[in-house]
Amino acid sequence: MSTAVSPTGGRGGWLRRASGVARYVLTCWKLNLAATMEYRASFFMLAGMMFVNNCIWLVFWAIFFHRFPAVNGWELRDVMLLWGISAGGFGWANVLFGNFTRIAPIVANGELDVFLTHPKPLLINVLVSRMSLTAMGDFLFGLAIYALVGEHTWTGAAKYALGLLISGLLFLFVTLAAGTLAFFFGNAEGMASQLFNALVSLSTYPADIFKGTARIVLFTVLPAGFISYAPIGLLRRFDAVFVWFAAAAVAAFGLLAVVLFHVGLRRYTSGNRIAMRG
Amino acid sequence: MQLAAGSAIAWAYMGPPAFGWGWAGFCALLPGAFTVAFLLNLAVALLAFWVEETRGMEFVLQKLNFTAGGMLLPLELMPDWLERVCSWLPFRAVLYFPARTGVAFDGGTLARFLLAQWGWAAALALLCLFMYRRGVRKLNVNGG
Repeated sequence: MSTAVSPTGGRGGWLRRASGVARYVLTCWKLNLAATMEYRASFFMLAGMMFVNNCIWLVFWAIFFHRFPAVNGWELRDVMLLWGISAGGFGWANVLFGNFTRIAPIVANGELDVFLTHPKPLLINVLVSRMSLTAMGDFLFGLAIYALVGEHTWTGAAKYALGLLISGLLFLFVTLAAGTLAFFFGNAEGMASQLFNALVSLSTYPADIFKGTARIVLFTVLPAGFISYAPIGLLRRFDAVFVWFAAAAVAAFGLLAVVLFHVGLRRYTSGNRIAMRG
Repeated sequence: MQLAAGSAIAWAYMGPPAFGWGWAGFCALLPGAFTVAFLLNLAVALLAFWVEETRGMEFVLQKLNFTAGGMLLPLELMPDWLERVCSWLPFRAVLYFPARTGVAFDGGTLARFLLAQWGWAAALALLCLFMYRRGVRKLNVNGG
């Protein structure tokens, strides 16, 4: 009798497990959205105000470029696309994986316990159990920017979608890696929060205003440069080297985040706190 | 930590601050700046009597402080019409007044800035009082 495990069936088949996890994730997203829409006024208020919040930044840049028409080759359209990619990427990542900014407090407060009892992969379960309302405004802002100043061709749409994907994944993985510091340092919420804020802030300024050591940092340990250079290196002209390096950064930080989470999980100790999933 | 990091970077590029009398003007305007900032935040927070979520409006207030408040770009660099509009808003009393007085001290300007700050503080205090009294009538408290 063969003891080989069929990849498409049989107990523990990885494909069956993967499709089960995928169905679970989709269900979580549907339930999160349904819960969000229960309080529609709040949802539209939050998403709308975040949209307005991003527009105020663009007003500032419009005033700036009115005074200084070009800065290191950057024009107003480039900065608008920068904000579209940055906000849009942050938006979809926070809508679909809304707990990625809360890993540090979840770990520090012992809120992992409720997720540990579920028969689902822990990390994905934690990430998809929450949807951010304000992030919907960010994502819609990203789409609005594309509609306003993006390249309206199939190639242009594909490049913009790739930019959103890279941006969102970098926000997700870098913030997740910063959040796992809570496994090792206990009260790491402040540190993780500062790293997250630094990533968000630095990803909204044109990459070419940074030189020397700052520029090196932006393309290595704090990869905001791969987001902030996208209007030039991906949208204005397709720089294959930049795109490959960006993909490599996404893969590297993704691996780092997952490894750090699982290594840190071995150090996790439960507490007496009664927590709810969310 | 943010003050230390920002100061270290500014000192590295521009050297230590040499404000002279500007320090006195800066300190004189700080209480008014904190008061106006507090009252602006209070006004937004009191909107919670009517809307469920005020976080979005807090973000917008913060950005208005950054832009119309002159933090990211001095108001003098804005178009004339926008500078005139911003001069009628309370946001510049929070960040721009103390910063401007610190770097370019002038006794007459200090007096005008103090008058504007405390005028806005009084107006915003009345607004917050009005909002609180109206909001408290709508309040529903759920026990549990």
